[in-house]
Amino acid sequence: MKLDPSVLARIQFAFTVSFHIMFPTMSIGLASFLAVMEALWLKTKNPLYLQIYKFWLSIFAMGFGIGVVTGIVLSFEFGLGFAHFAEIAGPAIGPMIALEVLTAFFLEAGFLGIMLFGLHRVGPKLHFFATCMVAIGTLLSASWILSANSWMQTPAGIAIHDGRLSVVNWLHVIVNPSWPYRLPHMLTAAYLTASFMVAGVGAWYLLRRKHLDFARRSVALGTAFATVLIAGQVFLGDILYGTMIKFQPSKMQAAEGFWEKESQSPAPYYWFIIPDQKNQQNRFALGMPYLGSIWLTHSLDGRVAGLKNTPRDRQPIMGMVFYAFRTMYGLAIVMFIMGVASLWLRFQGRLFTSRWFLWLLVFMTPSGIIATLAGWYLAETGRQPWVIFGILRTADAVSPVPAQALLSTLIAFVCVYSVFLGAFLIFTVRIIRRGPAEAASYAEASASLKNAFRPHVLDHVTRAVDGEPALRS
Amino acid sequence: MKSMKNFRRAAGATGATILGTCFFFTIIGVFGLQFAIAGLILFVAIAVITYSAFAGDEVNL
Repeated sequence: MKLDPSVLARIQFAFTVSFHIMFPTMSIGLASFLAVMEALWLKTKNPLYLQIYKFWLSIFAMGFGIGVVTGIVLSFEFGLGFAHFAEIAGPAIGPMIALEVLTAFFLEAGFLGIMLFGLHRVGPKLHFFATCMVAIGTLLSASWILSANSWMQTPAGIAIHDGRLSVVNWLHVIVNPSWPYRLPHMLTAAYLTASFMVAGVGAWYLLRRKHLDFARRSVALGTAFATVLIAGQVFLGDILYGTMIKFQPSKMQAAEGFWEKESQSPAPYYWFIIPDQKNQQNRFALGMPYLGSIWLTHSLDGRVAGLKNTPRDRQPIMGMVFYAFRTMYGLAIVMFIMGVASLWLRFQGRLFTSRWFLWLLVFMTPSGIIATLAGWYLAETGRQPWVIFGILRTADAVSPVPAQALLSTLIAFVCVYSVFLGAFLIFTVRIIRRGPAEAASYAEASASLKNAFRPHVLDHVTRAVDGEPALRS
Repeated sequence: MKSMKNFRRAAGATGATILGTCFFFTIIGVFGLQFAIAGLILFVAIAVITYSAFAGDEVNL
């Protein structure tokens, strides 16, 4: 069997980036959630918030670590699998990745240690400052990466001479047309991910009748954040949809499952299709009448543009784009329903006793990660056959590397990442099963950074771990 | 008495479903951007009020 290096390079990058994005999504969301929890603890002095903070801090730390390690791999893969892309896009993409390191990574690296291990060594306010800096670092990181990826979706601020790309306007490169919409969409996705994780774990404890105070507060906070965030996400998603129709029509044509240049009127909204890319038609389609016109054209009889508007050699594969979009959008609808249900149950005073709702929250625990993955599949498969939309085709971007080298590294990545994922899941399940009771609900602080490494402060930590309340210095 | 309670719950749930559907269609922009922004603000306000005003059940359980 002859292996195609371009296919293997794409599979390898798809696998590694899919694995990677799960962890930053968690850590971006959890970092801000932790900052809010610590702020609430400092404001109210309620130890429950500190307990919640400590519980999620360890899960955040593991996710953060795996996210950083798997993110570094991606930079190397530009060279391993996509050398031509790195060569051409380097002048625009390279500085943004370097700026991510200089701003976000340095900020996170500087304060992560204090955040993870400094609660008993520095003052609570300084510790809160460190948590905020780590949270801001994750935002900056997301911002630069989204800027780089959005530039690949909607390139701007460049000129091409003799096959060489040069930047003519850095502001246009960074603030490219899709970035202002994709960044808040991604950040909201990360916050939603954290909200459903927090609510899901709280719901699990309520169903098991364990750690009830912690569980109620987690469900209350998680559902409250999720309800507000999903409304914002639906709004932002619609704005982004309109932007992508303008700048990348082929993606949205594929996402809606229509082939003809104009759909019938009124247009249905397809939930299930069996597309036949070769014959440019659907073998089977199942949808809701009128809903396509209402949702997509905001009228009762509007027609939706199909994929035949895009030349065949510039079309993405409809099935991948369609189902990625349906997965993301379907989960968003379920999240919205959950938000409305949580408001109704809260109003009735049954938020913590409705078992059906608590079970739904448990099942929805990973929903943010799945929706984010689906969103990225939509973004990346919908951009095909381009790696830089309208400028460089993916097939022309791959490295002149033998297929065997790509296959062997792909197998190595699958093996190593399986260990990462297995370790993360095992330790996360252990932390959840152990519960928050192990985390002491008080914090001792030495009040200033200069005291942080003095022996008596470290003694306090030892005693606090042993369960003995430590004295303030 | 129990059937009355069930009826109230079913009626409430139906009302919440209709209201939620209206909000969803408004926020995704079916009625235009201005209505979408207004719908979003109203929905968030309702959520904040509900979560801050109806916190009593946390204590009762």
